[in-house]
Amino acid sequence: MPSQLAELAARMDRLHEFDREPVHPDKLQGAGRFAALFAGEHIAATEFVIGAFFVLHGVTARDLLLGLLVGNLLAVLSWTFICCPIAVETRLTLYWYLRRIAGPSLTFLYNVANALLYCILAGAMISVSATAIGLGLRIPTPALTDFLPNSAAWVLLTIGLGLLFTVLAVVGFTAVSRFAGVCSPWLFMIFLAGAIATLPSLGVRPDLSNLWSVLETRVWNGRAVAGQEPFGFWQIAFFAWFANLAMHIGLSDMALFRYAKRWWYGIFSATGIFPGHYMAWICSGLMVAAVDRNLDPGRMAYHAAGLAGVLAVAIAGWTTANPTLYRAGLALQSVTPDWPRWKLTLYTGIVTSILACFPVFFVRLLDYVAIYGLVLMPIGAVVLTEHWIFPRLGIPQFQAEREKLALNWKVLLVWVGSLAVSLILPLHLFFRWLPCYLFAIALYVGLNWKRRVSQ
Amino acid sequence: MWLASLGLVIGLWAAVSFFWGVMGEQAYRNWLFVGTVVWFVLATLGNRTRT
Repeated sequence: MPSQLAELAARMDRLHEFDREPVHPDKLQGAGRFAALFAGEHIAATEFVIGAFFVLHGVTARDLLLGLLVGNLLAVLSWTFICCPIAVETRLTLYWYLRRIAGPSLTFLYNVANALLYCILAGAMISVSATAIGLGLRIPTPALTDFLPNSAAWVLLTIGLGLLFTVLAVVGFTAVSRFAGVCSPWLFMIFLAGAIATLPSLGVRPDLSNLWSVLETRVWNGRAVAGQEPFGFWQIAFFAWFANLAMHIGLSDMALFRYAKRWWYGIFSATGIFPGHYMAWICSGLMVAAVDRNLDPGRMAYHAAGLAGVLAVAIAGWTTANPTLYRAGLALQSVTPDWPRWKLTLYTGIVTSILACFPVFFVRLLDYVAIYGLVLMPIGAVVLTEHWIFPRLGIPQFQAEREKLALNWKVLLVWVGSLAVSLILPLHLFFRWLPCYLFAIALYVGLNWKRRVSQ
Repeated sequence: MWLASLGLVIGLWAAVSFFWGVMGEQAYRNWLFVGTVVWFVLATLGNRTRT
């Protein structure tokens, strides 16, 4: 088994061979490039669902606005003071830096875990698109209590749509990616226009004199709908912070920031985060309030923006599922190295399409986002400890590389141990990652403490 | 791409006009769709010209 794992890891190394070396100084990018890159991201199909869920969870208007402000600020600071500085100092992707720390076998396991999580995320995006297409075909969207498909028509729709997205990703991944770049500003406009247009139906006067009172009483009124747990300021703040946990604290975005000229370019994540995770979430909250708090992205968008709104939901799901399918395929390519990329994307797409049938990933999206970040977060804690804390404590870095270990069992123990602690912590799911992150750092230092003494 | 922004302006103008009551709901939806078409046509052409 260990030798099979080492062989799989070696295959994965070959796949990532092209970015094995640190980024060359003449390839570094300026501030404008990062501002544009982030501005073009962070409006995904899931924004239609997340902002709406906050309304269903009965958050108040004040808690929402302040919670999103604080949480998104913390996310931007995490990119600025953790992810970007490490990327600029190493000029490596997380894949290659982790390989030096944890060994090739563990890096392989990390990639497979990442791929599975990507498949589920892509499945949720397909489900969101399906609500828009289903509106035209009169196929009912699953209820918030549905974990299994509610009808054969929903199964056929999600599988059909998933396969269509998969085929499009197989035959034209690059073209779809370019199209996604074109869609991004338009999607933001649809969110904004839709939110403005729902204000009259909520009772807001043209002079905006009663805007705040309408927001407090008819949108974010502090009353959760039946079956939804009430949320307050802290749930909102933590959700906004960890919505991209795998990217900032989990360090996936080292792949982007290794090209940054300065360590502080993480601040430019604000150009994507505040439109996508502040404005868009507020807009989708307004849209769901205008349809009697009925979480159905297709119906919400149609009510707020007509046919353009329905197109926005369908296209947002498609363009965001496309790169997610690609990344999942890339992560799994080492398992089947003889397969061409198209075949892998096809099989990944089939699995994703099947997952998309199950409404559980769509109706429990907030919990899934929390779990996604939680699962990958301990690896970020290990890398941060190794990069900044070990040199200060006199602990030698890169044990796996120095001792040619296929798998650094200490990293595996930290990963599994942190997740085990997260299971038993008597805290709300949204708050668990932070103590577990600190626990992971302490445990990794503790496990390596003896090496310091021996030096 | 700058010219394509006209499509976004049309969409936002329609939404604000509807909110102020100077445009009906169906007209707002039609103009939003027009803005969408303008954006996609001009943005796609702009993208193709650059590459």
